Amino acid sequence: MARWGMVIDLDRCTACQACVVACQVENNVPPTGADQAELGRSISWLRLAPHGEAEHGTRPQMHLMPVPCMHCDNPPCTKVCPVQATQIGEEGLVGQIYARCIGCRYCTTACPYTVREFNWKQPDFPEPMEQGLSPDVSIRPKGVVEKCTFCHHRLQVARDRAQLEDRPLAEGDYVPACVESCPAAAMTFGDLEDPNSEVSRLKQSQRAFQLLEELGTEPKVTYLSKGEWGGQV
Amino acid sequence: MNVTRRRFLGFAAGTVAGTAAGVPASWTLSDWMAAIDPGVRPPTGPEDAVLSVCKLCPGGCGLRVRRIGGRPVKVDGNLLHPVSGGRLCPKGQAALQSLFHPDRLSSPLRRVGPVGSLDSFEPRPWEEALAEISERLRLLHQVGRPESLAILRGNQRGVADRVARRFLDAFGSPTDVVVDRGEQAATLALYLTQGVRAAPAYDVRSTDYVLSFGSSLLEAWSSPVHMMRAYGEFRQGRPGRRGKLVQIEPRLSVTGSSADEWIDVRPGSEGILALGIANVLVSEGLYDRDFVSERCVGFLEPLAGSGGRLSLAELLSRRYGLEEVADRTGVSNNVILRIAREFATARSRLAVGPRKGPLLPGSLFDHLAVQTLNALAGNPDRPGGVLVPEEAPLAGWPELPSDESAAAGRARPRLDSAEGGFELGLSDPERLAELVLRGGFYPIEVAFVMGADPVLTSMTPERFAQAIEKIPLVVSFATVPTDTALYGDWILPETHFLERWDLETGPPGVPFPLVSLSQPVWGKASPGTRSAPDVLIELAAEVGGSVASAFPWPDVPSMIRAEVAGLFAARRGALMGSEFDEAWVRMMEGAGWWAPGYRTAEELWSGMRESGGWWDPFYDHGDWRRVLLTDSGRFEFRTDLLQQLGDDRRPPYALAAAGSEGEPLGARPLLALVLFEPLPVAGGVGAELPFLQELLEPGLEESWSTWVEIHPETAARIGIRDHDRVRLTSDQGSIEAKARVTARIVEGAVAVPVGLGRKGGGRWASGCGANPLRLLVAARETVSGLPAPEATRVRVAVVGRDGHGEGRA
Amino acid sequence: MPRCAGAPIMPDERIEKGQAPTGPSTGEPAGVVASAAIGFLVFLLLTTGLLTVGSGGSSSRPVDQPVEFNHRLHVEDVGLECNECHEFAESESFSGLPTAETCAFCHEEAQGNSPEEAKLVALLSGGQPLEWGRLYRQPAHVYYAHSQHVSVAGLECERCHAGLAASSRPPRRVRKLTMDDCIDCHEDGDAESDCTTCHR
Repeated sequence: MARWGMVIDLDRCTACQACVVACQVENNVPPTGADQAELGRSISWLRLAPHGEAEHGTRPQMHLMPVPCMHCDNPPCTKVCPVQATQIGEEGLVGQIYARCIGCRYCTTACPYTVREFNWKQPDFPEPMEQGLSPDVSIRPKGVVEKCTFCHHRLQVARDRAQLEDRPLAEGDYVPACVESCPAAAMTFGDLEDPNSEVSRLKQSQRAFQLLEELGTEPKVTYLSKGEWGGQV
Repeated sequence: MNVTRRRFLGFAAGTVAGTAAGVPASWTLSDWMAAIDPGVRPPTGPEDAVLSVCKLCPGGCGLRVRRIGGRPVKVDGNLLHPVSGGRLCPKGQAALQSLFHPDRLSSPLRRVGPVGSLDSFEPRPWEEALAEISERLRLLHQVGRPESLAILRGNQRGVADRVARRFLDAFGSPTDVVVDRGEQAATLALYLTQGVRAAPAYDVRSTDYVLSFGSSLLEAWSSPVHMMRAYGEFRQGRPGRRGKLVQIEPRLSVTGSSADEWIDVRPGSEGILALGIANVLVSEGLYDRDFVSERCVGFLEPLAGSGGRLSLAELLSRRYGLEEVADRTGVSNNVILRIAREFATARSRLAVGPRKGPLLPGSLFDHLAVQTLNALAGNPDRPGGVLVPEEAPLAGWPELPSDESAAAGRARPRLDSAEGGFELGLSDPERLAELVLRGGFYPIEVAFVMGADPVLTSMTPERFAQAIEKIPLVVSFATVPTDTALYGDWILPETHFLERWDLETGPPGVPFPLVSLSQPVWGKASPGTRSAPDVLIELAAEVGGSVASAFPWPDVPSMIRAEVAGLFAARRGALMGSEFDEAWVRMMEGAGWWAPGYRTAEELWSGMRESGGWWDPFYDHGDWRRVLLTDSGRFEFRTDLLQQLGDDRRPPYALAAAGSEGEPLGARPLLALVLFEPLPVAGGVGAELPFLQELLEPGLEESWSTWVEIHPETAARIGIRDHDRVRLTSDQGSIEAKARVTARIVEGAVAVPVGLGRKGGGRWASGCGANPLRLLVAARETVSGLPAPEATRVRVAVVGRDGHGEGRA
Repeated sequence: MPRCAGAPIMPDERIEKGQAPTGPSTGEPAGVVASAAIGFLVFLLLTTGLLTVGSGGSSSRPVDQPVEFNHRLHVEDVGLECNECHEFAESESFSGLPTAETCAFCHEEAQGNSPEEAKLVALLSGGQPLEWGRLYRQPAHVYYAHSQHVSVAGLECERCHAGLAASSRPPRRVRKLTMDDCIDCHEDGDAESDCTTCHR
């Protein structure tokens, strides 16, 4: 059984945010306007989180890191969902079942990575934007929580395609939209159970770390820290 | 009972709220579910893909458009395309939002009221538009004043550009103005030192150490995805070799945030630091002696015939000594020495010039200084160095039909030709606007604006708006109304770039020749729209005579096929392909063979449709007869220009430091203005798309508005707090913005993003933010004549304080 | 491992914009492991009037068709296979409704005297696309692939589309497939029942 995970190399990342838009387009996220943004209500399943701007008087630094859903092996969100609308699946994907979600937002509070978004409005796609929507991902109604799914609809299609062709799922058959778009190839995706996969190899790097790993959430997204000049690659 | 309290609350909350909202008691669960259904159900169908090219910036990324049931649903990079390699930037990812933009025009619009508002326009039929425009053109042609036609355009190197040039040539006008200045300073520097008319290509992929002098290397670069792909390899793609990036700039940019080191310099002093580092290389004997002695002139003797009195070695030692450079740049001696030695001793090292974005090319002085440093490091035309791009061998078009009146018109000087500038044919849109307003050699009576928005993006937006208003007939092509269009007379609804055929040559910054084919993502264009080249060809037919016969093709696809025949005849290069294909072609061509993968022009065409295009990946390094075309046949150290430009330079760093202690800074315009272009809205394109507005500045979490960055010390002296509403005032104008107090900008300066503050652009862009280009004073660099935005100073005053005060977060 | 259970009836009809009531979404039954919770929910729903009818298998609006297509005639009498007209059933997620070209393959000219066929021939000669009304619907948030069920699992079309091939005229009503329809079969056939196998 596969266990899907991602590695993000911050030494390659240029903070261009292609991943952010790739995700929104792939997953039929509705456009928002300035007013919703001002209220902090625009939806983004993946965002660039800033950290490290120095306090007054010291030399400033700024680092930006892409933060998708970590698809934790020990997810805090699923435990607080009163209706089992979010559950961890057999292959480790933390799913969000919109038809089940009652919008209580316990999960958005429980998630230490704050990657869960609440739909404050009925989605609006002004004519003719509806024409560009993908049938692979359903449109979320007002009042439910949504989040990064690792583009699991791509897994649904890739797995069926492989079975139809009577072959096992190959590395690269299933890749989320953010990983596919990344210009600097900073993001890698694959099966963590497969010791020969690229993600498994990268996870062994000395630069590997996980976000808030001390919380015991066991995230399946691993980051590689910035390297040193002349250091090991 | 296995019901937790949480579970109980969850259900109870849902049901109580439901009844309270007045839902009929007879509703079934099914009704209830239906009621919350968003009601959007994208149809399904067979899946396929069409290859095209992105035109949201000049970067030239090959696209693969995924379609379901014939509808485009996602845009990704074309895996086989050598520019995008299957990847894309956020702009490209948002391309569908521009295709399906709700404010796209579907009918020609004629202005019937005052300029500057879409409300002043009325829809009219195409026939009426074409009749009026062609009537004016015919008149100009008949009275023998064809030079009174001008075209203002972008630089996409596609069919639209070639048809526009052809139209002007056939009609008889020299005034072909490219509004996009992005590569001008770098092009000029390469021309003055190497004699080649091209923008340099920096080979970041193969180098170990990059000194970036204020360049937007990882943001709005010439071809952003190509550069970011190279950067990924530079950092972590070569076992045992990890490159180091040092970013030198007054404002810590997104590129700076990725760099290993940020060196904060005073605004406008990047070039001085480059020459300071060059001086260390020379004085410590760390420069490339072989390259300098064999391939350069002007190092120990002044360049003959240039009028320069000093050799480079003398200029550096006299004017760019350690102490002086430290004093002028604000960078300490130790840092200059350390950086210079790191740079000199790296296995392969590269200096990159201060191209800040499509609208902000940097100054000639800074680019010449960086070119000088690169020559001392032996970088011209070597792997990991500065490469010179080569044009793709497309078939030329048939000779123009002879027409005396047109020939006479063409022979007149361009209306925008720079006064005392270099005869490089570089466009000068601001000068065009000035001459239209002042009255130049001849009047402009008809202007076409296509793929450009000078009222938004030129360095003198207000003068440009007046000039557009003054020209009797201005015709703009646009998908969504641009700012310029609102000041013109006709707005013609253009097909989206994903809806048309195109054949595009390689983007700037990419060293090898390449030709990309764009195919329409569906059979017919959006209702009511036509492509700019189609309209120009139609107008040519209406004008008749030699203008009509200059376009012998029935349609654009047949024109493209004729051009592709030239590629076949060139007997080189190959179809775009995988990395394996690329290595194979390189190896074969290196050994003198040609292995193209096609045998006929027909096979080349169908292969291009399937792969995305043609290219020649073989780059012959050290081909001096191609890349050193100066009179001396060597790289020329232009101490004459460095000296003149350096002496003339009164950069803002001097003024920024001038405010004496205790004097309130708000009183006089003393702060240096640092402009930058965030990738999502660079070049004045992007604010019309909501996904891109969201991304303006992830570091400060700014979106959907204009902000001004100011250092905590400076802010304290003026009395500005974070999130205050402030007014910036220069000698030219003023804008309002939100203050963000941050140590990312050096003291004595303010940084403002360019790309917002539009009148046009549809519902999401119009009225959002402010355009800081309105602040710029009309200063120009001597010698080059390039606009000098760094000459502008501003003062800042608080105009409003949000009740929440500091920190929304 | 939790798995999908419970069988709500999902909506089929598109709701006009502006009709949607405000307020949070409804709760849906929670899972077999919490059967007591389901009981409690049903109690709540009944008492608040939200659940008055147990289930609804078909929609209330009649479906219009361009032609009263006779499945029985084509399948039993002529001997056509389903996939000869629904050409994507084995290879794609959708089975595909026949296009005008598909019908024109046999009916460019009339084969018999049926008035419905005459209607079809007239439509085809007019060059209009055939807009068939859909007879089966699943909620938009369900991923379902015909290819997986027909080609990989080898299910007969009858399994879900019972009786259709033997009908001489199309049903008037849309058959709404519910989670019950899926789950029953997935349990019997030992197919996957992870939530994300079907929900999207």
